Amino acid sequence: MRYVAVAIAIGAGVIVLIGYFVPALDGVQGVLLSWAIILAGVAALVGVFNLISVHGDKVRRREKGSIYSVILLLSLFASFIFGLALGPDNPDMRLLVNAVIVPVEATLMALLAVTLLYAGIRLLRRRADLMSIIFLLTAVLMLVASATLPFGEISPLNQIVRPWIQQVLALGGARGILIGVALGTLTTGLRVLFGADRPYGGN
Amino acid sequence: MSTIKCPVCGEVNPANAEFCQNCMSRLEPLTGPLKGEDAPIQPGQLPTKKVTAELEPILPQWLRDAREKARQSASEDAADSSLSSQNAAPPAPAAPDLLAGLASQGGEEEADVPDWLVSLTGSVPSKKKKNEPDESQQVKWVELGGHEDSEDVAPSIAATQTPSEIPVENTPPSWMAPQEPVPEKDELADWLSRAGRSSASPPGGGGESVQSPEPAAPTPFFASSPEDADWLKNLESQPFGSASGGESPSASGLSEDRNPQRGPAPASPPAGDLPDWLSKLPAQQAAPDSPPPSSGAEPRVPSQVDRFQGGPPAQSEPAAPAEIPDWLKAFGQAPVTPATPESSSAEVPDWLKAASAQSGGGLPQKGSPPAPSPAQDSGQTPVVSETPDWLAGLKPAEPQSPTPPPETIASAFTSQEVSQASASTPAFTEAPPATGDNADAIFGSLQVPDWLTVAGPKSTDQSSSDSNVPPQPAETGETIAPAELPSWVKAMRPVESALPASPAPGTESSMEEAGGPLAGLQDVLPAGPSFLPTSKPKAYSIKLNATNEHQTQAKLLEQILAAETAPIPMRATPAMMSQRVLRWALGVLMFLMVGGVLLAGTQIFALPARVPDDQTEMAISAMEKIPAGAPVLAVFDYEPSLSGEMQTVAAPYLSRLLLLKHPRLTILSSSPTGPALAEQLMTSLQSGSLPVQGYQPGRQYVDLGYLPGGLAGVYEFAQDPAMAMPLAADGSQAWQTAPLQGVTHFSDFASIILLTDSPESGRVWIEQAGPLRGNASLVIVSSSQAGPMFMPYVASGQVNGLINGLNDASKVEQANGQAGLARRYWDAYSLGSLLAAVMIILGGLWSLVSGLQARRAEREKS
Repeated sequence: MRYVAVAIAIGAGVIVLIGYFVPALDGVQGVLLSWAIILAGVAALVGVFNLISVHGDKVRRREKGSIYSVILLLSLFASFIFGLALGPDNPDMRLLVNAVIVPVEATLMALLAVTLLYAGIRLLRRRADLMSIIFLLTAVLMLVASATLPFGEISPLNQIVRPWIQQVLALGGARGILIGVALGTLTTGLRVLFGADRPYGGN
Repeated sequence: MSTIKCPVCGEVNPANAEFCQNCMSRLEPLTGPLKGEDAPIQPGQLPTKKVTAELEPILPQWLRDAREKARQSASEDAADSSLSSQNAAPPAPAAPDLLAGLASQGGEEEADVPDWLVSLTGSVPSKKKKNEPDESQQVKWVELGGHEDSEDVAPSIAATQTPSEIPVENTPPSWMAPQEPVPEKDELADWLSRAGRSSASPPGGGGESVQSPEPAAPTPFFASSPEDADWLKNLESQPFGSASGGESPSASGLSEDRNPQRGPAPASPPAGDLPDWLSKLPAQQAAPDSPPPSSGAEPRVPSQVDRFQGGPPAQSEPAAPAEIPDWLKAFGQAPVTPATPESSSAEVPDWLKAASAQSGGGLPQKGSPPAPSPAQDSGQTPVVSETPDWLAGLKPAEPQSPTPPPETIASAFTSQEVSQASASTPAFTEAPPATGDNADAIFGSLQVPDWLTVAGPKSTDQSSSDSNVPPQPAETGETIAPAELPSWVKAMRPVESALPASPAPGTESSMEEAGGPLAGLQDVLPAGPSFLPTSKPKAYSIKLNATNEHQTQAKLLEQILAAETAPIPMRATPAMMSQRVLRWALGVLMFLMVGGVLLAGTQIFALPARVPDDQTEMAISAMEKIPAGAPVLAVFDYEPSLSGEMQTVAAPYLSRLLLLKHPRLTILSSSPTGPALAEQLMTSLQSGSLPVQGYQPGRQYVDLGYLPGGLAGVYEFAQDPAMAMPLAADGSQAWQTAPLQGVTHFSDFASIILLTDSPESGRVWIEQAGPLRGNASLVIVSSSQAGPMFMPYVASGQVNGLINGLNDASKVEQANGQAGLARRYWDAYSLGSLLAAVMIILGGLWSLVSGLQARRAEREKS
């Protein structure tokens, strides 16, 4: 069974890879990619069922914080039932998203701003080295350069420092990161194709 | 006037004399501790008188009876001696004490010597009837413990000796006389049988036994019958002296058997083989009544054997006065001392002393006082010619062998003990009777010395002519070697198999038993292994031999162990409260500052200036190139958390697009919440500062919904959009709707606007769908956090424009000429950014200082 899984994974990967270079294989490549999209959707559904199982066990065991699991399960079943009944384009269903999900996540992001600010303040207490100072100076410069003053922009910062930081430092760092990500992705793909890594199981 | 007799030389000295006038010996023993009271008694020294009457009750019954009988006989004999002393001739020169002791020994041994031995030696047993009183007296004083009796005994002995009885000098001993051959088989049996009967006979019945013409019937030596036990009991209860006081039964019996067979058998030994003193004897033999000496049967007699054997003859044959040594001359006139108790007491064990006392003091031991020689009774007085070797060896200073003769051992056992031994010991029960041929078997195992085997019945004692005198076994008994034991005694000896084959290590030196039934035997009781010296255990030093390295390692180990058990101090967390307060302070400050500005709706802060040819201008330029009414794909790929920023950034760009180009909009989401956010954005555009009117779902735009599969879904959608997303979000056929009319491929879209807050999702669209977009422009509307990651793609041309964050959105609004959300949020944004920068700077400095102080304090503590 293990060898079958490895053969399927390697075969699908090789066909999709070859499909980039051989146009004749576009049909086969498309079929395989369609199967991948379907499997990914089913995986999302499986994830939902897994979420129901985990929090259902917490409620059944009456563990600490199980009340939140109860709220989660109630919300899940309510949205699922109302989604099936009303459909996703129903204004009530959109209200559910716009009135609950978006403000909650935005609030968490706002708290992140305060946390990052606090971390910046405590950084030198924990780690007073050159990199910490550079990090803090960069953050301060970008904050100051991103903002404007009531009387206008801070010319040196907004016109010189900020573009230089974005176009040189940030662009260079981003390219390096992207190149690294690309190499990592290529290596990972090759390892999967060669069977060295089997994320689909089979050890 | 009282006198005192010298214990050494026998000289009579005044009572007040301290030293002997003759030999200058001390007459009275020193008393008291300073006078040598505890000093051992020397040979020839009289023992100190001890009062032992008070110990009488503790003596056994048989001993008390014996002592009582001895007292009675002593009183009777005293009367007889007084009468005989009146008719007695002048006392003959008394032999010295040591000679007297030998005489006594010889006389006693004569009674115990078997007749077969007598026949071997050829000596004729002599009668000692007249010596019986003396012998009894010796027994008496021995039993009564008074040495004064010796004074009384000496005259009596002297009275019994007549001048005619004085032996001729150089007369050979009686045992040296030729002896007629006598069948040995009958001698021992007769002797043993008669010995039993003589012991059983009462003291006064000696005459009866002598007159008895019939030889004693063969009787076992140790019989288990009651009759035999009786004579053994008589042996115990009656002293030998009294038992043989009249006539020795055995002697009488022997005399009756042997006298007819005995005849002269002179045989002169070669002169060269005889010792000097013995060689002179034949020449000087002149006694008319004594037969010629026939001691030549033993040509070579060892000196020690000669010394042992020659005792009795020397006593019975006094040497010539001219040849008496000086030390013996002093005793020339002294009467014969019957016994030297000190010698016997010094050599005889205690148990033997008791036995001798019980048996009447007539124990036939070597050192016992000799009985008067039978020769004296027969009128033959031995002449002391010279002192032979054996006599020289009997000097008072010479110690005697402590080993008792076999006869002593035999007599030491009472009848009861013997009967018990005979009943329990197989040696006695299986022993053949000492009669007839069995006698040979008894003594056949004995090793007879050469001199004894060679000695034939040649020599005859001068007294053997007297047919009335029965042969005395004691005379022949003198010839018995000290180590010769009767068979029954040998049977009691330990079996060789019971003894260890080889002496135990460390016990090579032979040990001779000094007392008890095993007296005289060597190595009978071997020392046990427990007495052996054990090897000394090896001594080990208890000092620990540890080097410096060992000690160092030991200290290190101790430190490790101590560190394991040492408590770890808990770190204090006093700063937790201040940190939480700081957080709350920062949050409240930010909320108040930003919220206050937003609520105030101020537009104090200036908008950033537009920069030509930047990514924002490129995005506006790319939008302007889109043909009107062309299909445009808007990909919503951001999360609800950043929807506020994304809607603020995307709204001016999309509003401008929709208002200016009226494109057929297709909405696609690569995140599950994308369709809802897209709908929310479209709704906000309709009610925004720049409202977009006329865009209805299914007519002007279509929502394809969520595209799953990530990279594969994006690639698949770029490959075949209809195949990847055949249905719209409302379940209708999306590709048959108006917005998607004429669109079959991905490149059919005129522009692709990617709204994303994630660099990864933007990269996927750029990399997977970029090559397939054809001539369609790709504009990315991103949040501020993801914008820098798309800058490379903008710089490389893979992305045609980028609207990054609120700063670029304000530029688009400036381009639209209509203030929107960007302008509304700009003051709060700018104030918040400045506030954050200031707080970071101030807080950073404070943290830096406090951190340095903390580290300095820690260093000071350390």
